[in-house]
Amino acid sequence: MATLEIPLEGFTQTPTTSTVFPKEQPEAILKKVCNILSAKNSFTVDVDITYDNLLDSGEKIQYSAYQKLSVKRPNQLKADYSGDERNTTLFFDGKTFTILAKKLNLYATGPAPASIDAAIAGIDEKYNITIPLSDLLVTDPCKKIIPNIKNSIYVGFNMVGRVPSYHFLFAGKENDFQLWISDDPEPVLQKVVINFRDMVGAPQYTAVFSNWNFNPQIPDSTFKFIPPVGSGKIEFLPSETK
Amino acid sequence: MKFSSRKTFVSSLLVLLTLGTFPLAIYARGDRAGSSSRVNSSVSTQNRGNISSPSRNNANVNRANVNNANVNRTNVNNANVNRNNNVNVNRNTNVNINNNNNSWRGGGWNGGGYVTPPGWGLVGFATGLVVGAALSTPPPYSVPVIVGSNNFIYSDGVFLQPSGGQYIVVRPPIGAVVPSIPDGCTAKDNSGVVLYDCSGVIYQPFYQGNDLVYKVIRV
Repeated sequence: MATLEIPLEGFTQTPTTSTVFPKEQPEAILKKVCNILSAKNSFTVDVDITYDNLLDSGEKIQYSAYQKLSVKRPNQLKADYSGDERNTTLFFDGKTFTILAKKLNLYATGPAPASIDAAIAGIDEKYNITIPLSDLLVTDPCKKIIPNIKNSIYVGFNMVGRVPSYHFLFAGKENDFQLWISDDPEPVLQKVVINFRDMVGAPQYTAVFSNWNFNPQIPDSTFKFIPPVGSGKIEFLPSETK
Repeated sequence: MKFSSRKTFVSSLLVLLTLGTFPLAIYARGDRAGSSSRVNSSVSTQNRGNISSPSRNNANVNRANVNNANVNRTNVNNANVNRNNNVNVNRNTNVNINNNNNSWRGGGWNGGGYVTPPGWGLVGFATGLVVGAALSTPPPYSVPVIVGSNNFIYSDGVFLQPSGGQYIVVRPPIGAVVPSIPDGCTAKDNSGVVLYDCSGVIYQPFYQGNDLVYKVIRV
């Protein structure tokens, strides 16, 4: 893969040189973003999500959601998700995790491993529960992503909403994904589009990030689930494929 | 297979007495217990926001369409309006077990028989469905459900069994796990166990993977 120089000509209102990404390969830039994320003890970020759903009749539907993520390393996590098809808050306090169905006020809870990384993997493995965008929450977000990259392209200094950002395409083994990275001294992810190339109709998953906060003051009580008034506890039903 | 309305009514009352009468405070009006699947679909990226995740398929039959459906918000809005208007009539009185399309509240078991769910009109069902009724066309949206070695299809509170090119309305099979229940079911707290009473069919909610599912535990 050739080293890419990031061209900035053509954008009259933006700096003509980037101090952030001088002549780096896309994967090196991705690594830099991961390293910045890895180095933070805590952060919060909001995500606006749209994703596709293929009907049996072949048409494509787009649904939406937003998620507020709170991370306090090494062992506290909260993912508050509000969407068309799912409305859940997931709590992890270092010992247990709880998934709350917000609209119905039903919750299920179980023991979890002691770190964020192990908890994300553990509840997926044991309960088949996934946290959307949890790739970003683990200690090294790049660890699982980079080995799957087969090809990388710098697309351009392109818009995310009204803000130009560095736009990359990474072709993976099963999925392709595009990333938009901010032109900041401490670059952050602005947007991700995952293309499920091998799935019927090649549905896409889009996440736009905002309100990155690397110095949040989050009390521990944020991550501790306390049953809301009138809530009901339910159990897990094993997935029959397991 | 046909049920006597009277008999079912009595057993519904017994169920209600057994369950206790205080609905959980949380089940505010407008909250739906089930996201009724009103469209058939098999590919969704809902829970796939992770680049590293393999494209694993939800092979579980009972969950096959759980993540997917729900286009009702966009294309069956008229049905929703009617349904919401009528919910309280049935829910509060809880004695309407006759088939009465005027008091339709979202599909499902009504003691004496099923009432045609919204959307089913698309394939020309106009009247209530009773147990034993044979339909020549499948519902417009459905999920496959397997209980033991028996195959059913489930649509909005109605269970059918394919037979000889037809679809026979059957009594809800105990143990069936479905992704949604009809609108207008009543939530009960039965000694700490949350149950939904859908006109005498009792469902217990569970989390299965990322989804809420509902298991038929009593009919």
